[in-house]
Parts: sequence; structure tokens; C-alpha cells
Amino acid sequence: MIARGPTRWLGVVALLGALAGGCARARHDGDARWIADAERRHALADQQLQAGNVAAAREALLGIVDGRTPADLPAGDRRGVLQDTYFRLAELDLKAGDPRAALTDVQRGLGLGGADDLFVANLLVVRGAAHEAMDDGAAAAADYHAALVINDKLLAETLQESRDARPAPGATP
Amino acid sequence: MKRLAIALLLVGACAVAERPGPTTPAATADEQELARAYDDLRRADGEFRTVQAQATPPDCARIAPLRDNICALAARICQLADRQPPGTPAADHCTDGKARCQAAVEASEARGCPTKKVLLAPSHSG
Repeated sequence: MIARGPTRWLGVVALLGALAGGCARARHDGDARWIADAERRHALADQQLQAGNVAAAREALLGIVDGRTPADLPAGDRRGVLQDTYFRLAELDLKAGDPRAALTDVQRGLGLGGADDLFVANLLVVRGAAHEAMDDGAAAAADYHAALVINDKLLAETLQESRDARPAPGATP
Repeated sequence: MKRLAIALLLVGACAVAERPGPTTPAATADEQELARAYDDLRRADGEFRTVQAQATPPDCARIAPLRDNICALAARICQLADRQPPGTPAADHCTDGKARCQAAVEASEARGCPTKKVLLAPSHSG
């Protein structure tokens, strides 16, 4: 099974990215509370998983996707936090040996909107893993490749940003 | 902050560049203080060089994980492609993934990012 570790890592990175991005903007109190609550629930899920209580971890995460989101929350922030949560729920489904439930969670996540970012890439990876668990190697390879292409685009953007940030040769700092 | 402190110490050191020689009479309290400051400077400079030598270029914190994702996914795709009948899209995905992994490794190396040995699964498909 591919990269349970990496997928979890991606989730952490992705959520941190969403929260960091959110901090860059002025926020309404409701937005900040909702994001802080989501962060708290993710931390609680981590604790429960460490304690071996998968049901409680799932409960903590479901509280994010089942709850109401602030009406004026920026769409990208909402999508990112919810997609990351669906990603984690799908991971739990897979660990519980239920790839069909994982596919359902992934579809809910992807249904929130597409973008070339780690949130979508994570969902594609976990969907690929679900396909693998269902012995559909071709579908798994297609999902993994789609996730790979997104990672490659993000890498290209990162490389470009770092090129742009570097002073031109001979420039005075 | 540490760089600033070191810079300030360096400026201070320039002012006391003339170290007492072996024939110099016993140091005054001021000279002893300066000598201590100079020793501190040397120590801080050593620490700074150590930290600088260990430091990773800042971009690598973003570049390396993306590179590793790309190569891990490519490796997995190629493993899957090996189990597919010839001519299926998975083989093309494998070939493309390997190429992107190679490019990512080269780009990260060009940036001086720490390399991580990535072993792509041997594949008949690319």
C-alpha cells in the first residue's frame, strides 16, 4: 500500500498551509474560530489515534465536516480545511479495511472543488490507495499519476518563486 | 539575531585588533575585558560557522518533500504498471512519472538540497 506515512505527512503540510494562508488575510471572528476549532479537532483526532481510539478520532473529524461553516469564510479556506478532513477520514476508512467508504469520503472531498494543490493531491493519493485495496491497479495508477502531476506543478512553482526571489547576478543586496 | 551579535562583535574586534604580544606588560583590566570579548567572538564565530555549514538552503524545506512525493508516486505507479497488461495507460504513467522524478531530483540537486536516495522500482514498462 502506498505511503500511509507520506499521505499523513501531506495532510499535515496541507493543513498547515491552509492555516498559514488564512493568517495572511484579515479574518472575521467567525472564520478564525471555525479554523481554530478545526485545528483543535485535528489535534484531538491525533491524540485519539495515538491512544488507539479510532472511533473517537473519527468523531472528532466528523465534527468538522458535519458542522456549519461561517457564511463569509473564503471559499478556498473552506475547501482546504474540509478536503484535508475528508482525506483523513478516508485514511481511517482504509485502515479499517473499508475502501468503499474511503472512496465515498474522497468523492465528498473532491466534490468541494478542484485545484492544483496538496489538498486535492492528497485525496487523489488516498483514492489510489482505495483502488489498490480493491485490486484495481489501473485506476490506482491513474490517481497516483494525477497526484504526481500536481506535485510536479507545485515543485515548478516553488522553483520559479525561488528563482524570482534571488537577486540578479551582480545586483547589490 | 545571532548574525547581528557576531557582526557587532566583529566591529568590536576591529577596534582591538592589536593583541598583546609575549613581551607586552601585564594586561590592564580593560585589556583583560577586551581579551575576553575577543575570545567570545572567536567562540561565537566558530558556532556560527558550524550552524552555517549545517544549514539547509531555505527553499529545500519545500522542494525536497515535493521531489520525494513525485518519486515515491512514480515508484508506486511503476510497480502497478508491471502488473498491468502491456500497452495500458499505467505504462505511460510510469514512464512519465520516472521522467518527472528524474527532473525533480536534478532540480533539487541544482539548488543544493539534500539528496534522498530514491529507488525507482525496476520496470519493464519504461
